[in-house]
Amino acid sequence: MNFPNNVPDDAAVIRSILNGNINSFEILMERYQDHVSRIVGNHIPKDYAPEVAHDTFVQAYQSLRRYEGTGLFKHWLSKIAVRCCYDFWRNYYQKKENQVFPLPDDCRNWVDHLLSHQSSDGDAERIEARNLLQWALGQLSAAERTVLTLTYLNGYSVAEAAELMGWSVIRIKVQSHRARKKLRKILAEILP
Amino acid sequence: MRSSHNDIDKIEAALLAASHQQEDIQFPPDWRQKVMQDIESLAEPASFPKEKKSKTTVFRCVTALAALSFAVFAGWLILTNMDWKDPWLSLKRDVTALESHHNIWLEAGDVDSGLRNLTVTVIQGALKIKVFSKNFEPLGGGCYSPSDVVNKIRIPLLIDAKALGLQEGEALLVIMARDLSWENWFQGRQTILEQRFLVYPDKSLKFY
Repeated sequence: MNFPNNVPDDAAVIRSILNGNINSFEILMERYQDHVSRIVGNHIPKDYAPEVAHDTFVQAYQSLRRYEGTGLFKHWLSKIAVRCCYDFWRNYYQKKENQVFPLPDDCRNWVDHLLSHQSSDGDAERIEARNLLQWALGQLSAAERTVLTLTYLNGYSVAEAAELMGWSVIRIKVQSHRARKKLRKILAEILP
Repeated sequence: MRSSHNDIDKIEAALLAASHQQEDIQFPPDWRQKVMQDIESLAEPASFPKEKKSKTTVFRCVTALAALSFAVFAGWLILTNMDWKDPWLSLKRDVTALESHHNIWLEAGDVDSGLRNLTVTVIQGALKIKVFSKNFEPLGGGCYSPSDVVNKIRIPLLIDAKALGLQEGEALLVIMARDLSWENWFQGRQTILEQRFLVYPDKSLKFY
């Protein structure tokens, strides 16, 4: 790995990889591991996140020759990461053993607690809220879950989400609207 | 209902807040080595982006050229087969003497694509008799030269009232011409000329 500058830019690293210096890919991994884990962490439970981040980098390497260098490498990698998360959920839902589990009692208690105007700042309660969110998201389809996470939970605009998913803006709008409506219906069912 | 909406809003807000507090992901210590091992076991990315792009560009150019050629051919085909004028018809009557049968001259033509067919029908009450029908369509489907088409024709038309079985009274002569254009779902443009006439007791004809 002999680069003319001490800190090679992404384009130089990619050229080097395409020239056969596979080890240069480690530079990209080091540079973007945090970025990828942030994206993956937003979509995937933490136990599965390293596996999906792994897939993201392997897919990025495989598709590297398709990166045309017209946009930021970081953006390009983000798209791959989001699509890996989507693929993860699609595979996950296809497995029969990953059926929807019943709502845990502590989540139900957390809802009662929240609606009785009591404080919900505790760490344990935050975990319960996350568990409830995962339970509710688990009842959506892979597409609805991924789009809702992007647009509602992560605050991406519809256009940004469309670019990340490689879908049309209309499709994102429809999925997002449908998923939000479904989520509210699921939450309505657990009201005391 | 209102309070139910408020409750859902409240739960949603709490879930949204919880989702922003992301848990730290613990990567196994050998995670990066495992990714590199997987990458090394894969085939290398075979070519540079530029080479890929140039292949794509050639393919796109060939596709665009083929599409353009097709569009030009289709445009030419449509323009040459769609004409702007209806076929014309003209009846040159010779009725100086009312006889049992009449010989009249019929002229028909089409300036653009040429004549496809010509029919002459006599109608009297429920009686409908086709006295002339001819197809001028050139052989060879849609592929023919302009010299093969009939742009103008003049034919003598013999209407023998007795032979046709026409009765005394009013009758109608209907002449219809179609051209070779693709108008009207490939049926061609159409012109109809109607001429009323009287059949006299001796079965002679009088046009008016």
